[in-house]
Amino acid sequence: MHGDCQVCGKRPATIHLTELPTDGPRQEAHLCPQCVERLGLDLHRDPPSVHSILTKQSTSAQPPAAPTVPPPTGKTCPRCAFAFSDYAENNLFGCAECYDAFAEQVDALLRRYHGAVGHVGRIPGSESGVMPPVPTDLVMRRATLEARLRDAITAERYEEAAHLRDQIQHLAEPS
Amino acid sequence: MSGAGIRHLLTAPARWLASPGEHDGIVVSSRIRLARNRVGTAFRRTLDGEAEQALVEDLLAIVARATDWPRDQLLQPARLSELERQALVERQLISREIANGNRPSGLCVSPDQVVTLMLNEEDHVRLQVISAGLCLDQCLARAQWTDRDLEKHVVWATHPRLGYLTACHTNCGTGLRASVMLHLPALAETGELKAVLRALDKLHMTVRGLHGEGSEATGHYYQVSNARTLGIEERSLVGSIHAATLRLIEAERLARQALLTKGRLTLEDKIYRGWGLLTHARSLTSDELNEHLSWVRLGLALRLLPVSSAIGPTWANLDRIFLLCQPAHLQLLHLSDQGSSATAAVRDQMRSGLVREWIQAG
Repeated sequence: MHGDCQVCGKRPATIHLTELPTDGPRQEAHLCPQCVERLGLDLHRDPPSVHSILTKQSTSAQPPAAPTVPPPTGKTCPRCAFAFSDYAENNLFGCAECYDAFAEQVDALLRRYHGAVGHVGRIPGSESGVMPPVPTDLVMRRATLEARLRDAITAERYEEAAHLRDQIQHLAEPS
Repeated sequence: MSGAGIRHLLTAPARWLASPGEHDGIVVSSRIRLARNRVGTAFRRTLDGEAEQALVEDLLAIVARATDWPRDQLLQPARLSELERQALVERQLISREIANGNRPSGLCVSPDQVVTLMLNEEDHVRLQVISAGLCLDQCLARAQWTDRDLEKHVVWATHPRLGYLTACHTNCGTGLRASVMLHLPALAETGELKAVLRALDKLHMTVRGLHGEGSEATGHYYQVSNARTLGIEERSLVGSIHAATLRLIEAERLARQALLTKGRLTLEDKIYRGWGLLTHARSLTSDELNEHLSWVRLGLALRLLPVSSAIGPTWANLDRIFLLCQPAHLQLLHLSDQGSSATAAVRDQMRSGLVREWIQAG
């Protein structure tokens, strides 16, 4: 769940590969099924190395639209002691300060997923879009009641039809 | 079953089900979700059980101060039975994550059951507004209204450049997910749906099944929502999903006409088989019911079924069957009537019996 595919940078990554080489750091790749298929990877019989996936990605015909996320530096968040490499486990940060602690990686992640690194819209206390809490589905309820009324009349269920007509009238009256 | 609050939540009519609405039953409901986190508290991933419980209790107290919602509708799902939690999922009031987990969590529901707050979900607060029909603008207004009420009592974690901060980078910025649940049987039947979904993917929209992330598109129900949450203002995000929904409605209507023109006999056969099974079967699994209910729903929308007969399908009945014949609802009914759990076979028998009874009741 969450997180984007490291190849296309668009679809959610649902396939996670972890490589634990004896002579180097742990490597991970997070992919979506479409890219696995497109790259012709056979995950069951012959799992490819993370390196080979990255090579295939770079030689892929698809344009490399997504910026690469810089590798973890071993730095941890000063508040929650979370390391950026932990993020790959389930794409969840440790705390709000992780966004600043790993600013470089976070910016690349955001750019790749959202195509943007700047918020536009509401912030706490801003009053944009202020509206009273109105009933959300008046229009829907009216349309539904009218459809039920039509069916009741067609089926000659006149008692029900009268009841529905009352309900529609009631909707129209200001309370 | 436990307290009066949960009893009410599990028996009141669902506010997001009022078929057919304005669009021939194609649009079922609209939903807005805002993700928020309290400043100064770590995200759930780094909290231990005790800290999570403290967070839930703090937030419940804040909701109690910030709203006039019934106190018995401010709940801790972990204290409910598993069946009650599953039934809340079936009513779209909590996520499967909260229902399945044993972590401390909270659920607050507004008196009209349109607004819910899930506490200690992936984010500290997931504010959801759900209502019947295509009404994203109104849902957004209601969500922002509640958000402002909460803001008077809690400071949300924000960033001067990145907006609202969330546990996963895919939600930060506005924290807004706008989604519409659609019934698209004709697009699925004609095979055009795949192309439509590919086009939505290019527009940064995602499509999920009935119960959101990871769920199957059972009964031809699909939820369309925005993928991106950062760099686009709330109204634009909502506007893009609204516009995509209008396109999908049009595509579904065209596909329905194409089925009527080119394959009317096959279509009628599916619809009447569905109707025959609903009215005569003696055992129905949940999947079977969803499949046949979907065709009957289409038959009603296209006026191919005999609404003039004494025992004809009605939208109200189809909604009732759709909601109350789900597995956890049936199990709760059996528990309350018989005092024991029902096996799958007994549930299937109950399901078919209730469907026949409700259809005959008109």
